[in-house]
Amino acid sequence: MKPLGDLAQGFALRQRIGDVKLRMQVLSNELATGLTQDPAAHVHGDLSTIAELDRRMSVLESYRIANDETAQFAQAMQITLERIQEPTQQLSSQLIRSDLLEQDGFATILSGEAKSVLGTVIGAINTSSAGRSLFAGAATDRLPIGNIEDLLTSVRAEISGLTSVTDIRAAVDGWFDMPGGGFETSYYTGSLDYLSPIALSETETANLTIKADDPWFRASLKELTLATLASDPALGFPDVVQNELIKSAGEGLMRQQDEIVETRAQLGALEERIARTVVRLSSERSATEMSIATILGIDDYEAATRLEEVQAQLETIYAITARSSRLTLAEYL
Amino acid sequence: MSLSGALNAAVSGLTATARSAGLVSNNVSNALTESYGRRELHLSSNPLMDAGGVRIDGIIRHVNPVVLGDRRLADADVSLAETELAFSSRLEAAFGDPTSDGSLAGRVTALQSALVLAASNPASSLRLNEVSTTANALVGKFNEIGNAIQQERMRADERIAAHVTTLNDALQQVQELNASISTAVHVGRDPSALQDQRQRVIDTIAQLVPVRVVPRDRNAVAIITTRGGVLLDGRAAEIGFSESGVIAPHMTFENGLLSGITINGRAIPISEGGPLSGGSLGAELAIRDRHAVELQEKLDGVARDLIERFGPGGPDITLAPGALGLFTDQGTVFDPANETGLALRIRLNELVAPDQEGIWRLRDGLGTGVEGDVGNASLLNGLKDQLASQLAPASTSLDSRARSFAGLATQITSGVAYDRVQAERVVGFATAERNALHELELSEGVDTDLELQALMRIEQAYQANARVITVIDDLMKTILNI
Repeated sequence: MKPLGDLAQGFALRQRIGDVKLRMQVLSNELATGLTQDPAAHVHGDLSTIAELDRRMSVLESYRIANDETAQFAQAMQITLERIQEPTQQLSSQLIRSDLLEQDGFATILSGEAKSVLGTVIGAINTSSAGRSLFAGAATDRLPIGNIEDLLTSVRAEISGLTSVTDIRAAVDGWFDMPGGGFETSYYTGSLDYLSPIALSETETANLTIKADDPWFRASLKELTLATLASDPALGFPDVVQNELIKSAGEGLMRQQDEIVETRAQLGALEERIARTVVRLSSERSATEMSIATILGIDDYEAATRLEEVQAQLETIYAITARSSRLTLAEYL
Repeated sequence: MSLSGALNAAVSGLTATARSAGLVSNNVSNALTESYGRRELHLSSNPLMDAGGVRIDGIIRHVNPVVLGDRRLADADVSLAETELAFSSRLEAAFGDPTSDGSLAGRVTALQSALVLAASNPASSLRLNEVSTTANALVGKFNEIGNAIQQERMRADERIAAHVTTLNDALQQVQELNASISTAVHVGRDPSALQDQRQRVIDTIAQLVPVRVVPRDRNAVAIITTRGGVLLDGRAAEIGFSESGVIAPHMTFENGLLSGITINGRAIPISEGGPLSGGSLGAELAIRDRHAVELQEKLDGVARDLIERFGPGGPDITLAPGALGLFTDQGTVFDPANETGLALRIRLNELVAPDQEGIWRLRDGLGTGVEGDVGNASLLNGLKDQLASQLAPASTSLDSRARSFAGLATQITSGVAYDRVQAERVVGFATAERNALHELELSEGVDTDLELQALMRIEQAYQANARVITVIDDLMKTILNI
């Protein structure tokens, strides 16, 4: 007669109980978190997809922050350009009014206005946003240009002693526009390089290529300076020369308006591109999040069902263990 | 047969039933002892013509050698699989889950994010410092994982030494037990308890190395490994191994810096398929000499890619050929001849260490002496793009497909995770098989129901024999009283 060893009876049941309890623990955790407990086993060891999705989430978040900053910077530029465009436009229409210039002393009034606008424009050019200079190119830690007094002093010295409008014009043009002229060597303190292209996403960049030594900035400052110094008492130009200079400055300013409008339009287009990229990256982030949940997530309903099955199974094993432990001959002797 | 003959027969019956009761008691008391072989009394009728009665031939120790042998082989498989699983799991933990920040892949992502933010505002020294900190954390992780791998080798080496000691002690014990059992049988004593002990000792050997137990003369056994190594045949073999202290990446068994195994002074091959492979001893040897070494080589290959990506010829144009790049081999230029162990030696260039004043070089270049415009993001953009560029790694330990650096990090992490998942599967299968065999083995053990039934019959037989003696005694008294 073949015996059935005592140990054998308990052994199988003990193993089963251990396995089922472990299974129950894993299922409970999965149900609670909604995610699989063992990601590596869930994807059969190939973690490349999930790692790439996770990396993309982090990088998208960084770009979100960076793009917020870039949008703010571009917006500050746009607002500042408005602060330059408006007064210069108004002033330019006043400066070309020859009928007003006929009156005595009006030139002085207009020069005074020009000086006030020049001050505003210089202040605007030297604006910073969040600690970075807007128009100094890559040298965001420096001011792009000097103050109004330095400008007037330097140009005044340049045109002092000249008499004809043509000569004065030529001298002022030379100081501002010529390579190696006073503007470049002593007045402009920003960088010679534009701000580096700013990355908006892993594939796109934005170019904020506006700085204070661009032609139309120089031209605006030039005409305003000319208008201001026209009736400067230290220079003592005759009335005819003064009127001519002021009128010429006004015409120059008017010509610049197209440039400013063009620049502002391009900046506006860039702002719009940044905004669209922000929206696109945001929806990409949501999609990536959903992909991760799809790969690592588990179906709640299925997990709950399986958990119940396992619990029932454990109860059955307990009942069998209890019953069979009482079925020995020793109990009946 | 005379009355005295009858008396002798009855007395022999009493002796036999008393011995049986003793065995039943021994069996029941050992019902829960695993290596206990159920004892049964072997009886036969007394062959001598004139005397009658029952003769005790001996005690049978019930054990199923086939099931026992298979279960021992399964034990070896389980030991092997569990050792490899433990190794894979620990290494998987060292690399980390790619979705968590502290993992290798997580640190690469952190560096990438820091570069994006720094390139957006290069004037911020806070952001430059963050780049330096994350880069430092990344190389720190390489150092950490490299150390973990070498720790695994040292641990394996220690365990090999411990296993060899256990093996030698156990073989000595079996040799002594062989002698004791032979003597006991010769003298006529019951050797069952010694055989139980011998079975236990061989079980411990069976986990370390898969063995076959072969019977020899005079109830002795020989122990031979399944792959042909003779551990005990008459005399126990002497297994030799010398433990190394600290293990460094360049030390291998092949170049003689790590000890191999000797049997009776002769070196034996310890690769997969060698005479001692197949159990936990073989597994530890494979870990020390193959698995950990291969993983170290791959990790060194990835570290090399990091150094070469950001060295001369990369995005930093201020670096002359042969100059120190962003990442260094312990402060010196990387030499391809010294790739072994690179992961433990890779460092961030000291010029751009975190919280130091040289941080601006991350923006302006390692080779310049003068700070440039603070808004210049061209190098930072270059670094950011280089990290994501698909480049083919130069190391021969990695496959030559072009990948981004994050891709390399993920590839090596995936490899380790895959190994762990596979190892779990193997453990599950081996354990199920072992459990089935173990259950079969245990079912041949003591069944208390059967023992108690036998006890009832023994009780009856004893009473019957005693009754016979009483009756014969009365008969004798009757005769003597005539």
